[in-house]
Amino acid sequence: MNVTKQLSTGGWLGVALVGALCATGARAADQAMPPDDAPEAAVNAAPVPDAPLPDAGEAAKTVGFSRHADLKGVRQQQTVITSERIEFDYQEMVAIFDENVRVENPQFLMLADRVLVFLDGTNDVKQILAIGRVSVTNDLRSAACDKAVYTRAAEQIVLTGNAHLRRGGDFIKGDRIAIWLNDERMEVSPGTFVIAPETIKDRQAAHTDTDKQEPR
Amino acid sequence: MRLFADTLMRLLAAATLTAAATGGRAAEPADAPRQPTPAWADLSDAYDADAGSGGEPVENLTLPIEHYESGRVRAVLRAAQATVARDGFVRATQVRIELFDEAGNPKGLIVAENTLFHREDRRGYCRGAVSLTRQEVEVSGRDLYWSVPQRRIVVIANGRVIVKEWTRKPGEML
Repeated sequence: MNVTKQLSTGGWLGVALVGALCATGARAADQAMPPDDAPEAAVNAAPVPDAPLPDAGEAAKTVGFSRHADLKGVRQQQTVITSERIEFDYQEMVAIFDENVRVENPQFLMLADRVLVFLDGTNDVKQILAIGRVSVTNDLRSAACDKAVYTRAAEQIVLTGNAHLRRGGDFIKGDRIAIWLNDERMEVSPGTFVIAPETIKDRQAAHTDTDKQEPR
Repeated sequence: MRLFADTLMRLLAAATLTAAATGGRAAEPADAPRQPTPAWADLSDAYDADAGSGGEPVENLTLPIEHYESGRVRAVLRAAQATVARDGFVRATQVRIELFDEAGNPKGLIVAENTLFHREDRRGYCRGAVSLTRQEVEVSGRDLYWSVPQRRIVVIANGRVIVKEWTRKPGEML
C-alpha cells in the first residue's frame, strides 16, 4: 500500500539536510585548495538572497514554522559538525564526513555514520547522501532511516531502510519515504500512518473553534 | 552527469566495503575485506621515520607549494623551523599555510604543529593539532593530509567544523 500525505515534515527535514549540514560541511572542508575552474566572480559573490519559497501550507502553520523561516533561522545560528574524518575532494567536488557524524544546531541534531555532500559547477549543493543510522531530531519531531538522499534538482528527500517520521504521538513508517519539498508532499511505500488520539482531538477542537468564529 | 554518477557509485561502493570491514564482528574471518590503506600512510610512516630531519636547517622558511595557472601563488607554506632534505622531504614545525585568491588576496589559513612535505610529490602530512580558518568557518582536528595532484585534503581525526554564519553557497567559500 502506498500512502501519500501532505505534511510539513519534509520542510523541516529539508532544512536540517540542506540548511545546515551540506552548506556548512562542504564549505568547511575545502579551505585549502579551491578548484581551478571555480569562477572568481562566484568566489567573491555577495551573500545569496533568500530565494522565494512556496507557501508551507496549513500543515506548516499548525506546527509553527515554514521552510523559509527555518532556513533563515539556521543562517543566523552557529552550527557545529563533528566527525572522525573530514575530507574534501575538489576534483570530484565532494565533501565527506566519515564516522560518527554529528550536526548540531539550536534547531536540530542530526546523526549519521557517513555523510557525503556533492557540489555542482556553480558551487551549490547538488546532492547530499547520509548513510548509516541516520537520524534528525528536534524538540517536536524526529526522523530516522538507514539512508537519506537529498537531491536539489528535484527538491526531493528519499529516506530508505526502516524509515520513519515522528511528531508527537503521530508517526509514519515505511521502507521508503519520498518527500517533495516544494510540493509539501510525501509518498510512503509500503506505508503505515498512525495518528495519535490527541491529534484527532486537537484537530476536532480546532475545527469547532473555526466553525464558531465563522459569520453566519 | 556521468562523472557524478560514477563518483557516487564509487563512493557508495567504498562505503559498503568499509561498513563490511567494520561490521562490529568480534573476530574477522581471514578472507574478510581489509581496510584500504589510507593515502597518507606512506607520509605518516616517513614522518615516524624522521624523514627529512637530516636535511639543511632553515629558519623562517617560506615555500610556495601551489600556483594558479596564471602563475600567481595559491598556497605558501611558512615555518619557524624546517629542514630541507635532498630527497625532496621538507620537515617543518610551527607551520602556517597561507591561501590566496588569484588576485593575491588572503583567502584562508592552515596552522599545524608539525608538517612533512614532499616537494616533488606535492603531498603533505601534518601531525598533531591542526586548524583551518576562513571567514565564517573554523575547522579543527588532529593530523591533516593534503595532495595537490589529487586535489584532496583530509582532516584525519577528531574533525570539527564550526560555522558561525551561513551567508553563501557552499562552493563560494572555496
